[in-house]
Amino acid sequence: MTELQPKADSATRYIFKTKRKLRLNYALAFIAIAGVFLWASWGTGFNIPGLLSGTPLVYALICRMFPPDLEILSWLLKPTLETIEMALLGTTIPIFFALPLSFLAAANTGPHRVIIYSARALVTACRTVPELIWALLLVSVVGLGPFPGVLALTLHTTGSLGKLYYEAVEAVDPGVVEAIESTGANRFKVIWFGILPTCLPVMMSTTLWLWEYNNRAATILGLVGAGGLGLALTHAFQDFRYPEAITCLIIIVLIVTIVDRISAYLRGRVI
Amino acid sequence: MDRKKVISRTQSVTYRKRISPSRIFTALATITVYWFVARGVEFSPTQLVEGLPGIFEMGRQMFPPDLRVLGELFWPVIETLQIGILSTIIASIFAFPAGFLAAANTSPHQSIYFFTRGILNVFRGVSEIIWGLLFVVAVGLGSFAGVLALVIFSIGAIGKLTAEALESVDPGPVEAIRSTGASNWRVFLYGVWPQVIPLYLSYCLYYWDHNTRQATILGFVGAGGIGYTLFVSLSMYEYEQVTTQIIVMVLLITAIDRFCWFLRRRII
Repeated sequence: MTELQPKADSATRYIFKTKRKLRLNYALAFIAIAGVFLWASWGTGFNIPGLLSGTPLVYALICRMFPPDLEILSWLLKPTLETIEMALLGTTIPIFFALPLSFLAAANTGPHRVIIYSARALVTACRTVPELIWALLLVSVVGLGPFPGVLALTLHTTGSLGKLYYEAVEAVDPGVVEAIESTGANRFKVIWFGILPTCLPVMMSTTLWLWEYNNRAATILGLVGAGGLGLALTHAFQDFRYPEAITCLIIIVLIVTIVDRISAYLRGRVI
Repeated sequence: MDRKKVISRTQSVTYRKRISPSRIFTALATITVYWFVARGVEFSPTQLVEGLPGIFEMGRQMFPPDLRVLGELFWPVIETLQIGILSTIIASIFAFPAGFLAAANTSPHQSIYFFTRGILNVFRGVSEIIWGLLFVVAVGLGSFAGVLALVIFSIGAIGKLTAEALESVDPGPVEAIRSTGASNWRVFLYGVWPQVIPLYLSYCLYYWDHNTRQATILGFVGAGGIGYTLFVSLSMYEYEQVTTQIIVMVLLITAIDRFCWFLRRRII
């Protein structure tokens, strides 16, 4: 017993030491976050009195929005359909670009280092420019309407899907690839029979996720004149017709919720 | 049975499997839907081809980038970063309790569960930009409106993800701690919290990345950040400045993306 005593003591001491170290880490992290918080709230003019004085204003705005103006529903049918259609096309078309790009960009299927890096650069460039900016640029080129919106969603989604796809391709078990290569199959056959079936569920799930995302994105493209509900919403706001704005908002929430449900159902079927 | 027959039979089986009435119907239905959708959005390759000279012309005008505006971009970039940081910190404070109330297994009452879930869905269903539009009307132009917009959206998004994480907690450790006679609070603290916290932190980091990305475009509705300068340059057709601003924006987004990736690897 007496022999064991010092050992136990050192163990407790060790535990206390790590605990103290952990506590110190937490304290440091807390101080860092608090510091950054103060710095950011100083820069953006965020403060509690401002927030409190803003609350009645938000409340007043909400009061002016109700009751929603349901008479414009028939007029909103076309923009609503446009939003859904833009999201659908803006998710489907990119699949055809992102799939080949992802096989060129993945380290385990890419034909050459130069091609891998240029494909990745292309994907990253498409992805990092927000879809609203693509839309802004495209509207000034091909004119107003939902078509530039589809193109903008296509460009941004090609980037996002391309990245998620090539990560899925790179995560494929190398055993699968080797097994098919050992039968003397060429690169195309390896992709078609080995890699694609393995990562298809992941790819479908990410595509569904982007479909949800695009439905939300399609509602704002109208802000820059690229069709959809965003245009009706902006006009309602600019002309202070708040009851119409709340109708648009309700439709947007409905679309997003329904699409989320459909997507969750389909994801359950796929995986 | 000789070999040829077997092969022809399997082939015919696969053949029949590939082209069945239901599959033809699905294919036709899909084509019809896409046909109508393409017409609905006025999809026209000719418009794109006609626009091609315009694209080249704009590309020509965009180069070389006007680097003189770089100095003016310093404060908008800082402001964008601040909007992203502030909104994520505030949202993460509110998102955990919201997620706790919106998870089926931790919510104190059924009605609270449905109510919180509904609120989170509305917060998440409306895009950040539209929240920005609303808050600009309510509290005026500036980055304060942008912060509020991102806070509302991120509470919805992080709250929902946290609720899902809470619902998928492994019941084993929870039961083990409950069997020692621990109070509800202790069960949560030692059974649930350690399982959820890494996920929660990774969601917060993800939304920091996301919020910074969105903060770059919130300026379009007058809610502060670098987006506003971009919008001004675009409406004055100063395409050389636009190029510089887009490059700075992309660099900012990439830097945050990398930093978040680094932090996430450290935490998880």
